[in-house]
Amino acid sequence: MASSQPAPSTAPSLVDTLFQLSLDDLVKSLRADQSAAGESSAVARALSAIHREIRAPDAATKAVALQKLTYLSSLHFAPVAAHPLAFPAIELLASPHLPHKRLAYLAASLSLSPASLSLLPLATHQLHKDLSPSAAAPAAHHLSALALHLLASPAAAAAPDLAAHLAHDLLPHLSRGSPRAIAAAARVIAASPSAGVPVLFKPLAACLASPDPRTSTAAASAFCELSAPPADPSPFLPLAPDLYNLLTTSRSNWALIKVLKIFARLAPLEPRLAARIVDPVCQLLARSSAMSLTFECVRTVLTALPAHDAAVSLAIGKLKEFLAASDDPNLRYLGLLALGMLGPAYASTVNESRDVIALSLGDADLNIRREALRLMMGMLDDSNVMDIAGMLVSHAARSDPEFANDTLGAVLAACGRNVYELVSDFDWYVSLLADMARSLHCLQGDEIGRQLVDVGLRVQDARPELVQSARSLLIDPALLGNNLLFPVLSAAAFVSGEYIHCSKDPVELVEALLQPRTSLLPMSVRAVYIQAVLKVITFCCNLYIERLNGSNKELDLVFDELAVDQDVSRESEAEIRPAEADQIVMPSTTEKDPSSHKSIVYMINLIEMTVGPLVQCKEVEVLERARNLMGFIHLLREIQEFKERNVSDQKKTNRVKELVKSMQTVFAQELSPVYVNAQKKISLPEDLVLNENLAELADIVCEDDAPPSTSIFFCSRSNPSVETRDEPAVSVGSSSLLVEHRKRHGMYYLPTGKDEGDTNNYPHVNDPLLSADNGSMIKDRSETVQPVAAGKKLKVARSRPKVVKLDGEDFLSAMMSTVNVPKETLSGTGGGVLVGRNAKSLPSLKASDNSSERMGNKLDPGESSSQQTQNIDADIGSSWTTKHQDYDKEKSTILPDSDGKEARKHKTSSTSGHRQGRHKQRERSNTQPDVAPQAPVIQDFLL
Amino acid sequence: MIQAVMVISTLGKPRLLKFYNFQDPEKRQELVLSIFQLLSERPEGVSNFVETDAIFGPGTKLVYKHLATVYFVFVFDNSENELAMLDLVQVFVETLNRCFKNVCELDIVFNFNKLHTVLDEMILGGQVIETSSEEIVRSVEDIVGETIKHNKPHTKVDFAALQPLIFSSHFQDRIRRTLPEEIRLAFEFISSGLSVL
Repeated sequence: MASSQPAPSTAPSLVDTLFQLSLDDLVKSLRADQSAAGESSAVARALSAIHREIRAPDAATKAVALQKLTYLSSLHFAPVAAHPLAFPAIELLASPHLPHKRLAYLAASLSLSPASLSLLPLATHQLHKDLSPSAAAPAAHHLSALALHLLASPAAAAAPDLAAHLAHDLLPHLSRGSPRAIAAAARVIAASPSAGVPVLFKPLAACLASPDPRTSTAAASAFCELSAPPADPSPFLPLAPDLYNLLTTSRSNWALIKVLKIFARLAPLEPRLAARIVDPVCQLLARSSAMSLTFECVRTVLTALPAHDAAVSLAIGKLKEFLAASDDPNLRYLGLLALGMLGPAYASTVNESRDVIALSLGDADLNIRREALRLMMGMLDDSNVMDIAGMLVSHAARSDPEFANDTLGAVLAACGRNVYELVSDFDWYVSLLADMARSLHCLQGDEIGRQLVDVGLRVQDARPELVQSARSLLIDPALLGNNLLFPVLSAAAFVSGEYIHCSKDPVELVEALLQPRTSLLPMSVRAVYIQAVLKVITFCCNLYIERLNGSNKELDLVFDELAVDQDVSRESEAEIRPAEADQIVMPSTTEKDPSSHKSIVYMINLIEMTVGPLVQCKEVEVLERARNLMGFIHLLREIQEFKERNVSDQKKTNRVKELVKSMQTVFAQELSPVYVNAQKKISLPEDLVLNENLAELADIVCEDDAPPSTSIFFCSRSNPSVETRDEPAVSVGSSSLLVEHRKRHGMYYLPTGKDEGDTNNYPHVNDPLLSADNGSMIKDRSETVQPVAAGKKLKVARSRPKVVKLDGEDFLSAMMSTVNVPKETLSGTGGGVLVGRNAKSLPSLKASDNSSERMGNKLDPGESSSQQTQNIDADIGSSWTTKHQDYDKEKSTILPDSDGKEARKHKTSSTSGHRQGRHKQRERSNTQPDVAPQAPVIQDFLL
Repeated sequence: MIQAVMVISTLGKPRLLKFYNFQDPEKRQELVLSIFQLLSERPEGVSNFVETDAIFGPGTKLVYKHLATVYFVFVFDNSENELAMLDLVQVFVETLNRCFKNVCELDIVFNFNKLHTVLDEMILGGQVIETSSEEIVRSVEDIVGETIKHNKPHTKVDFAALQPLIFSSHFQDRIRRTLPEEIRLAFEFISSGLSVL
């Protein structure tokens, strides 16, 4: 400021200079208004002043401006472009005035960035000058210190040229043993090994042997830094004698810690080293009073000298002292940390400390809790998994939400590892999963849900308990309000539907699945609930029919009642709801037999009342499933209509049986896990010409393979299943769309029955092998089913997309796809697997073919059929049909040439979603060679 | 090595930031914020270490001390010993205490350059070069004395004698509270070297 030079006209005026705010003024102005807005405006004002001042010709003004700019960019994150800061900084480096120089060095070392590296060569000369010892100025050591700081700054580390040019200038300082120079040399070597090592390595190594403890400590630190991973420690092996000397003679804890760290890295490289250092390390361990050194010794022994039992037991003794330090959480934390370093050979030591560790789970310190959890997880084996996992889950209920989640996540991961390797009692594990789901703030719902389903798929013996646990989750209305639990409830609904035969009380289950609070569930979960209801009611009807096989009288009774109910609803449309509500009372609370006709009537009425409104749902998944379910029920009632038309009892009964049985076959096949890489293992038949559409398939397969860590993936409902469920809408819309859709699904859902003739122009992959592998596949299958039942644990990871089966509407392909695909077969017979699947499903295919044929007879758009469907329309109740006419209209308009009659047919037949499904299946089973003739057939059926 | 040294107020304002590995200026604010959130969640009387793998990369930890209204934070990797770093934080705080006589947050706020001088005497390029707080204080006094001498070549005032008074927080606080003009003059006097007297 005292500059006597007259300011040039372009530079800031003298007034600016005279009234320049100092850094303290700036700090005060920033503190005057603490609000964010006030502060940012103060920063902006200051920046504009600084940009003016920094161009000042006099060094004092420039230096203050630079100082302020450094401050703002460092602590207020002011958006200072690198360039305007770097240039004046480098300019001022050359100032003869030491305070200015100091400011410039500070600015440069704090703020230079790789972006401003182009300017750094400008500083090279100045650094060289400041480093040279010839500067006889009294403040020479200050200058060199500043220069060394800049040389070691992060910006310089990004400029290897600078390091290369100045490496020689460090030598005199190194020979003096200056700790600064040693630290800077380490940075130079790290930044530019090619230039630094030849010049600096030897002088640096010489410093290790220096009698000055400061020098040797700094050198040990430098080598510790240089040998740190990911660097290769082997070049430092020759330093071992010097380091050993330091280890035995040094009194500095800092130096000893660094030497121990280097030895811990060198010991694995040189077997003799461990034996040499074990004695001095043990001496240090025994006599040192400094905790830092003691801990470093413990760490060195446990990680690098695990073979020396005496040393390890000494270290374990010290470690237990750490653990016992009740007043110092730092020592307890480090003690747990060290315990985690113990190898598997000393697992018993960890087990001895189990009480301490368990106690630490409740520590106030999150570090200690985490470390304890980690140790607990390390301790898990198949003998103690029940104790530890049970203890952790009950502990999670008491701890804070974040840690509780960590705990549950760790337990789930550990128990699920390697296909439940640790778990032997699955009944226990299933109930543990249910307990976990119930614990508050549990964010692991997805994983719990996945494991519930997975256990059901893999472990047959666990299914009764699984269904029992699922029941307890489903019947609790309080759980329905917790959105964290939706994935678990979804899984529970799935398993209880899938394994309904294990359930003790299907009626209660239906009530639970249809309870009013299910309206709180997201649509995707509701869809699962409805599907589960369909499975339950199918199961119950089947049970009933099987029980009464031959006794038609009672069967009639049920359906008579149903028909009566139907009549009531038809007669008094306005009173449907109250009438049904009155009727839907469980005949007697003690009546628990799910196959009694009362139960069935009760369930059917309940379903009609609660699911009925959902057929107008806007969500396609729910809509589709609700329509499937309602369609099934209406079909049961519709059969009753035949009786009224004096169709013989026997025929009617057969129809009912047929219907229920064929529905039951849809769900009878057991879902099994499929090996995740199953697709990959199938070798490509040579005559297969991949169409371009298959390129998309390759992408999808790649995506699926992306997370190979999980041995099984359970196909999520969202992706492919949505497409499948969209089917009716699409197919009704246009036959060409249907073809397109079939094409895609034929491609995407590999296990579905794409080789049924609907694959259009795609070649039949397995045709040539079909007959050959027929028997082998059946054999394979029985072999793989065996271990599931016998060994409880299914080691081979398998999964398959279960989309089609879950849909329930597409039962042909469901049968096709529910085939075990064992790993061995896949690798062995390659392409034969698909063939095998065909072969296996052939009989059932025929059966279902028959049944659908029969149904087709019934539903064929002949004279009687159209009449019949119209009857259904009337029967179903006007609200249902009329609401859906909107949909139907939309659908029919998509068709180009549909006249009024066709549209009307379409309207009537499309009221029941599942019937469309049947039509499609039938159509698909008519092995049609090409698409073109197929189109009119579709129209016949669907319109 | 030591990756970073931070002093953060309990309100989340950075008071001193020094990174020994290059950090993008845009990223620095995020780092401070995430460290502050980490620390502010920790109750009193727990261990001083926090694993910062998610913030500073694998193998890094931080050690912190919560004193009055500031956190002193040292971030380091696995080439450093945890307890030694805890000692180093203690050395740093002691040194500041000697330099500022009962250091408080205001001292740290208003002495940007001096704080960096202290830190640079202790750590260079992430390596510890001095662990004795007496040595550090001696070097810092030396440098500050040098600065004053350079800035006031012609004055007859004994700056060395004045310096403890000016740097004492009590003096600063008193004049800051009572006489704003004088404090301005006093700081001008120190930092820009005007020959006011």
